[in-house]
Amino acid sequence: METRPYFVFGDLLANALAGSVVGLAMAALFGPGWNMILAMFVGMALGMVIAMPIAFPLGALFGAMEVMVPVMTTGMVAGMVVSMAAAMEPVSLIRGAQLGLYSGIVTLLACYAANAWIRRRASRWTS
Amino acid sequence: MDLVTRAKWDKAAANFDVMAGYGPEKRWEPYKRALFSKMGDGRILFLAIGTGLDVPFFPPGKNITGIDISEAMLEKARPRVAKYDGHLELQQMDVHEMPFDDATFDQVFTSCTFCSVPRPVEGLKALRRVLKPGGELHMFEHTGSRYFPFSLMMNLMTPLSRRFGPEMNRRTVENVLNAGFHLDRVEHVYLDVVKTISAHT
Repeated sequence: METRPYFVFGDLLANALAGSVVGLAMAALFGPGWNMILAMFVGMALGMVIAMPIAFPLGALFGAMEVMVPVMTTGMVAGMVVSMAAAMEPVSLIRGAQLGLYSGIVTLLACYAANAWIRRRASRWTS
Repeated sequence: MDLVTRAKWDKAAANFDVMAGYGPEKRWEPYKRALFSKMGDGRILFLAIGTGLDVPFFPPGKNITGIDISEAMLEKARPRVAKYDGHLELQQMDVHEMPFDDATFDQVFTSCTFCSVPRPVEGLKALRRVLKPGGELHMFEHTGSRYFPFSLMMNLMTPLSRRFGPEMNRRTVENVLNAGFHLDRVEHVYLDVVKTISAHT
């Protein structure tokens, strides 16, 4: 797990920012008129697309794959969560950004956990 | 020489250090230093030395030949190479057309290289050719992931990323084996995406 404060701060910043921006966009785009399953898939795809331009500049500051992979995942998760919520009931822009931010932090923690688990596994494999 | 690949990296050279020179290098510095500490006293080939961002991490006093397909990249590398406390020469060449004799080098090192070599197995076979029997290959690479959702994202990103630089879904460990190397160790740096790979001929 990353313990250097500069990079931990960068990871938090990148995922919180990506989550908030994606959440805001999803709250603006989706509403109760949407089919929830359709909203989920469209939201996931759009979330990744929106997260990509956020990942590149922050990656230059805080690390390439270590920023890009969680931020893209955050885009997907925040896109899914907020679009589904907005398809069920109206979600304000602020609430959308807030849900996206929470999604970003949870996703980052999940990526830290996945990293710790994968790195502990046997090293002799191919990919 | 692969002119398409050369043109791509010549173009990328102008902004390469802006994107890769700070965050990624700082983040990966401990792992790269550990890998490069395996540099021995024999002849070393460093493939795709780029703008020389890794040169400050090389241990001093080594005999290294650094090659890259892009002259624009090598031009940026020269000031860093000039500061190296050891023998480090640069040559522009394509890994697929290396003019070195068979069994020239004791070790080969790569750093984020085989995400970009267009024909990776052929490139690795070319490295095996120039390595002495028992010669070592040490790589710091990013690859695709076998885990969802990371695998999905990296597959989706690759068509875009390959236009500007690397591919995100390479199976480099498998490629090393397919090129005829014997795998010694794979160490994961981040998820199963960033890793060091050590192998021998």
